[in-house]
Amino acid sequence: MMNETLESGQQRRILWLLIVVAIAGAYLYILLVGWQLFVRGDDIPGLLDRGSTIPAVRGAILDATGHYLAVNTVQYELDITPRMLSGAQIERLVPSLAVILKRQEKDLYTEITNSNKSNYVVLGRELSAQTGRELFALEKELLNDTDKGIKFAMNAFVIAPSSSRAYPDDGIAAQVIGLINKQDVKTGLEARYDNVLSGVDGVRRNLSGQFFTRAGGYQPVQDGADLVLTIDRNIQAEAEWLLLEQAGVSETKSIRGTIVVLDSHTGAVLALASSPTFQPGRWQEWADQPKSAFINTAVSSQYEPRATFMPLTIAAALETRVISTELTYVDSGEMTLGGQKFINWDLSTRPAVTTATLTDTITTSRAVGAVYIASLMGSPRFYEMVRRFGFGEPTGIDLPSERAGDMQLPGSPNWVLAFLGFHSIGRALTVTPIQLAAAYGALANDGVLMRPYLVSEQRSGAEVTVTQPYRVRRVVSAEVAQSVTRMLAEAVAQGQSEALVPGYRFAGISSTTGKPGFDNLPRGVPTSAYIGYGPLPQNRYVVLVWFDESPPAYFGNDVAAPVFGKMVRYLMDYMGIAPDATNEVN
Amino acid sequence: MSQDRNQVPYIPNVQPYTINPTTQMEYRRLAIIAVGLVLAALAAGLYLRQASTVATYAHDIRELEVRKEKLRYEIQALRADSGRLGSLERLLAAAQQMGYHQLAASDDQNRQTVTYPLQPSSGDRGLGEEISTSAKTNQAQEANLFRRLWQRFQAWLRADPGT
Repeated sequence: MMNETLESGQQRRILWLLIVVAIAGAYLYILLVGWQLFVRGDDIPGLLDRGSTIPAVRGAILDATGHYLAVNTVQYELDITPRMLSGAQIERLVPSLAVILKRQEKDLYTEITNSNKSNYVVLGRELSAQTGRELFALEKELLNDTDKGIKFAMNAFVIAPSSSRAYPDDGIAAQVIGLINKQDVKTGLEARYDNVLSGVDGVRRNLSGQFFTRAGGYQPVQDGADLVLTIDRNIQAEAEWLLLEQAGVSETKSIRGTIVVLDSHTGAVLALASSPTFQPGRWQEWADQPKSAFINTAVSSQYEPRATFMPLTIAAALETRVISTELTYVDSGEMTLGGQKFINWDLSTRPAVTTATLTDTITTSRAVGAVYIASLMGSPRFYEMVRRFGFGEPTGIDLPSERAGDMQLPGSPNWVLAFLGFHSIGRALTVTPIQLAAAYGALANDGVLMRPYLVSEQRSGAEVTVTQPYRVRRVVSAEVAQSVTRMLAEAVAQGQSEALVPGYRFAGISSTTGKPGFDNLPRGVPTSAYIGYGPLPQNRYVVLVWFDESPPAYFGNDVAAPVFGKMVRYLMDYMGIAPDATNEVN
Repeated sequence: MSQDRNQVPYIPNVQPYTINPTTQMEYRRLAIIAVGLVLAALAAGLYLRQASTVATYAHDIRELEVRKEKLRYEIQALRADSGRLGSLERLLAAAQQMGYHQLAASDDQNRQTVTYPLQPSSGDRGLGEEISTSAKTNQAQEANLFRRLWQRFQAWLRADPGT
């Protein structure tokens, strides 16, 4: 009886034990199946290793014709682990490496054998892609060698690739593209579009555990998008060449210069050349270059526009209907506004009293005329028009470090009425070259201001994002714009022979400008500028030439106008715009 | 030996055949263990098979990824090479080797403007006529070329499929 009770109790316990084991087994089985089939690697903390990063390839920067201006390339580093190599293997390796690395066998042999206890020896750094290909071929050959005495271990021979930035055209548009160095310092488009160019690194992580190892946690790499610029490298190269070699910085001994070529209808920048500049691929030389080489003059330098501002004053007055195109006034050579006397720059050579037209005002840069017109307009209308032309605020061009220009406005503590006179002749205010080019673009584009831009497309795989030209606002009516254009064209025909290009009609004006704080020429530090657009009547292209500190020749008509003429002639040739025989004089 | 039928016959005390409960329990246990073992073996087999398949795929994927990375680097290198080969500097050097040089935009002496349509001046009449004749000849040659191509195309259409 007692035995029966005992056996019955044992059976129950065994049964319970089996049930518990079965439940535990089923739980583990379900867990295992779940892990295998349904659970993502990322959801199991502690089982993930840190994984390895797959670096994204930085996007390339191309010009409007599809040529690479900046592109990533590959460099290789060759590491050898001598302690993993036998004498026979080293004997086999050295002659082949000497040929590929173009080094002496003896040197290589010494380098490898003398560091026998090292974990690894770096035999080459910054090796080219072609050298990398040859090394990979050698590695394959060594790994597959049938002679077991020669066959290499996988880790004995490491070819480590890394990306670096290459500039096939050796620094064309360097200021625009900007630089990128190993300390992750970026400027220009490299900085502005860094998030687009960088892409997203990929991650490869392996699940590791006591019982299983499997691939998991793979996040594909997303390479950076390519940027296609509005800049045409041929026009850009010509502009840079003009600045440096032809008649620009070296010849005039200017310390800085810039040439801007804009498509007035869209705002697309065809060339944005600045000098001095730098070689983006040769960072070893950067320390020897002046700091100004890294400043994009066209967007970050400010200067007094002076005479180049007068046509804008006239356009503003015409638009506000304060004057008509038929206006004539008596020019006595001097005028007082707000207690400040304004004098024509050529008062000593010109008759003191003449009757002048608006075209005369532009042709001979009569300060009296511009001040008189501004006084008729009054401050509110004048400054409203100045703002509408885009001064006092950045143009919004897609480059970093763009400056807005400086100007005292009514209401600010230092503003007095005399400023109205100064501003009407482009003094006591500063603008950037790109601001001025954009404002003249509005005159060329029948009064509509377009935002200048540099990137026309972003290409990420098959996805292409096209930049649409951005119309900022209508500044003046088409009639006013055309009237001022005719005056400017007349000014070119009458007095600016250096800027003339046979067969083409261009509207333009020169300026011998000054930098803030330097009033009296030639004792001050002059800057020379010429801005124009054409060919009429389409007015497609705006060209601005500006030189900073260009003594002894400092008149805009002597320094900047010839370069303008050469730039325009090249542009017309390059764009295939035939000369018009009727414009032979102009 | 006769049998006395008055006597109670000898019936041995034979117990009916019964299974000992303990033995019965062992059989059941063995069966359960056997089934458990089979299931465990099946699970282990399935797991091992799956793990090995996964490991094989992982290895293949890893190899493909390494290959892909090499190809990505190769594409980078090729893009840079294509950029270098098309660089202005190289084009200028190649042109110089061929005897050309870059003409300045302002170089009027080495510049010839051809206006279209051709309008020869009185002094250039001979040249103009020559150009005009040459243009007409070219047009006639082009017309003949198209005619010949059209005839060949029609002949090809009419030809037997095997030819």
